[in-house]
Amino acid sequence: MSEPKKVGRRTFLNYAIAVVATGVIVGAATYLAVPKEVTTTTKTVTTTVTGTPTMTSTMPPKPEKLTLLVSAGAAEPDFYCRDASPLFTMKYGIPIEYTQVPWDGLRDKIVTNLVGETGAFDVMGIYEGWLPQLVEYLEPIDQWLTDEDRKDYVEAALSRSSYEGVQYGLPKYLECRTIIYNKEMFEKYKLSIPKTWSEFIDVAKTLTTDGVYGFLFPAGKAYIPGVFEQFAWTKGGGTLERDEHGFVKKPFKITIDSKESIETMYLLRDFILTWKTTPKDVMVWGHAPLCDEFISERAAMATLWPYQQPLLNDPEKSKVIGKWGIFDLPLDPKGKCSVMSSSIGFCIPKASKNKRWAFEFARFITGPEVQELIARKINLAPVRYSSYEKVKDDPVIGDIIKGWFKANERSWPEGCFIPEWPQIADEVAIGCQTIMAGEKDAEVVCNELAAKIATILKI
Amino acid sequence: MKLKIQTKNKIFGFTLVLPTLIFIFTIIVYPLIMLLTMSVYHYESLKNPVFCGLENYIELLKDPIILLVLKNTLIYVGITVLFTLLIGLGMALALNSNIRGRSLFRIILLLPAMLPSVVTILIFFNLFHPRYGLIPYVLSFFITPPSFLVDVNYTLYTCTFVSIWESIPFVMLVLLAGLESLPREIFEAAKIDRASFSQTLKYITLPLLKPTILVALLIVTMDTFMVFSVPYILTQGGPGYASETITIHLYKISLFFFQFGKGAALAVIHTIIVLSISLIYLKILRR
Repeated sequence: MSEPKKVGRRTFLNYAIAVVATGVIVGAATYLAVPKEVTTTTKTVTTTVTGTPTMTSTMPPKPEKLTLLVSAGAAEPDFYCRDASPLFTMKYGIPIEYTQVPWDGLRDKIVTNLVGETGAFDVMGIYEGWLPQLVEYLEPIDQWLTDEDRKDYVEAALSRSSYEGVQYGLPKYLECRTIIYNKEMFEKYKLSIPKTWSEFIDVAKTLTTDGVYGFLFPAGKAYIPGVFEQFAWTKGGGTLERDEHGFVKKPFKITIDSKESIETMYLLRDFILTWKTTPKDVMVWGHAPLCDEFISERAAMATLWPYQQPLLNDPEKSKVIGKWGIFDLPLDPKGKCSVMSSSIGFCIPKASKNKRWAFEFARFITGPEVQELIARKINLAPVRYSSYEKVKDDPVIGDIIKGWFKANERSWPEGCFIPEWPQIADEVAIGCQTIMAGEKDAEVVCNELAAKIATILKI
Repeated sequence: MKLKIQTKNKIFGFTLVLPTLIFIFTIIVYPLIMLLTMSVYHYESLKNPVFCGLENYIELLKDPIILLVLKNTLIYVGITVLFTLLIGLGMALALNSNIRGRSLFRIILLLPAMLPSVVTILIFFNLFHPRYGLIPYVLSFFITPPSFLVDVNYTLYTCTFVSIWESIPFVMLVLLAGLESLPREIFEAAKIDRASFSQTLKYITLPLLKPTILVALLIVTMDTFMVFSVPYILTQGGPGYASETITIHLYKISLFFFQFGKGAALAVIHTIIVLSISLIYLKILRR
C-alpha cells in the first residue's frame, strides 16, 4: 500500500518542477523578447478639409456591400436599417447588410469586433460613453468631413462623437431624457406639473394607489448611474464637476461626496423604501419594462427617452394614446441642469476595408434628407440644422420637434468622455443599489465612492 | 540494427501523436502562455501594454472586492455541487430500480439538458420576475413573496437554484451509468442476506459508486466554478455585489474596464483555485 503512494508523490513533484521550470523559461523569454519601452503614438492633429469632397476623383471602387451594426428593439435603429439604408442603396448601388443586437449585448459585440480587428463591420453605432475607450480602433473622419457639413450638424450632437479634438463619428441622434406623465391621472387628482422636488414627491405619493406606482425610473446596473447623474445635476451635485456645457472639468474634481450628491442618493432610496412610490423591482429594470408599465397604466410618471415615443402611441399595446405629456425634472435653486442627453454616432472601425464608402454611407444617413425623414416618421429631433428648419413649422410635428430640439440645446451629456468612465459608472451603480436596498447609509457610501473614484482617476 | 528499429518505432509513434500534440498546443498551451504573458502587463492603452511584473496579482489580492466575489463563488459552488449530487443520486437510484414508466421518466428528467442554457435561464428569469413571475404569484397565496431577483439575501441562491436545475441531468446520467455497470451478484447476495435498502446503499452501492461519484463531482465543480451565464442573465451580479462571481468580475475588469492585464491575472488565480480543487478530487479518487 505504501509503495504506490511514494511513486505518486515523486511523479507529482516531477510534474510540478517541470511546470514551474517551463513557466520560468517561457516568462523570461517573453520578457526579453518584448520591448520594455512603450513607444507613444503621436496624437492625431485635427485637420479641417475645406471644400466639397471630390467624390469622383478620390473615391475608391465601390465595394460589394457595406455592413452596419446597430442596436435592436427600438424604432430609431430600425429606421436606419429598414428605411434609410435602402435609400443609400438606391442612390449608390451598394447594398447594406445590417446586424441588430439588443442593447445589453451591443457593447460586447462592438468591443470584440474592434479589439479583434475583424473588419466584419464597416459602420458601427457607438454610444458616446464608450467612445473614449475605443478611439484607438476607430478611424478619424476629419479627413473627409467638410466645413459645410460640419456647420450643418447640430454642434451638441457632433461633439459627442469626438474625443480630444478628433472627430470619430457622425451623430445618428441626440436625445434627451424627460419625465412622461399620465394626464388623466393628473386631472383625476387635480394635480399640476411639479416645479420643485418637494412638489414632485408629493405628486408621486398622491398618484401611488392600489396597482399604480407614482414614479418609475430604471435602476438596473447599466442605467442607474445616468439616472443618479441627472437627478444630482438638478440639485447641484454629480459624480465629477462639469463646466457650463456639461463636460467634465479638468483637472478632475470629485463631487460624489458633496451634500447635494448625498441628498440625491437619499432621494433615490426614499422613492423605493420610504414613500414606496417606486417598486424595488426597478433595480433589475431597463427602459423597456418601464415603458411597458406606463403604457399599461400601472405607473403615473416615468422617465422617458424620445425613441420610446412610438410605443406610447402604439394602438395595439398602449392604453395612454393621447393621454400622455412630458415635462423636465424640477431644478433646485443650486441646480445646474435638469435635462440629460445621450448620443450615438456612426463610427468607422480602422479594420474596415471600405472606410471611404463607409463614411459616405454614414454621411448619407445622417444627411439632411434622411434626418428630415426621421423627424417626420419617428418625431426625433434631427441632427442637422437644415433638416430642423424644414420640419420645425410643420403643423403636425413642429411643436414636438421644436420641444425636443430646444431640450437638446440646454441638455448636458450623459457620458463623461473619459476612458475611466465605465469603471466609475460601475462603482456608482453598485453604490446606488447598495443604498436603494437599504444596506448602507448614503453618506458612508458616497465617501467610499469618492475614495474609489480617486483611485481610478489616480488623483 | 535493434536500435534503428527502436528509433524508427519511436519516430513513427511520435508522428502519429503529433497532430494531437499540435491541437493541444494550439488550443490549450498557447492560450495559457498568452494568458500568463498578459497577466504581467499593464494595459494603459489597448495597443501598448507596459510590463509590470506581479503588480496585477498584488493589486488583486489587496482588493476587498476579490474576497467578496470569491466568497460568493465558493458559496455558489458549494451549494450547487451538494444539491446537484444529492438530487442527481436520488434520481439515478430511482431510475435504476424497476419502476413503471422508467424510460419515460428518463426522457423527462433529461429535458433540462436538452434546452440551451440561455433559454433555461430566461425561462427562470420570467418565472422569478417580481411583477409577473409565476413563482412569486403562487407564493403570494401563502406568504409575502421575496424579490428573488432583487433582494440581496436571495439573488445568489436564486442563481444557485437555476444552476442546480441545469446540472442535475448530467450528474443523474453519469451516476445512472455507474449504477448500471455495478455487478448484480453483490446486490443479489445482499438481498439474500436480507439487507435493507439503507444498508445496501451505505455498505455496497456508495462504496462501489465512489469513483463515478468523484468523477461527476469533479466535472460539476469545475463547471460551476466557471459559471457565467446564470448570474449574468438573471441578476448581472447585482444588486451591488450580492450575486457577483469571479467570472462576472473577470468579465467586467477585462471587457468593461479594459484592464486586460488584471483580468488575465484574475483568470490565472481562478485557474489555480480550480486546478487545486481538481487535484484534491483526483487524489481522493486514486485512493
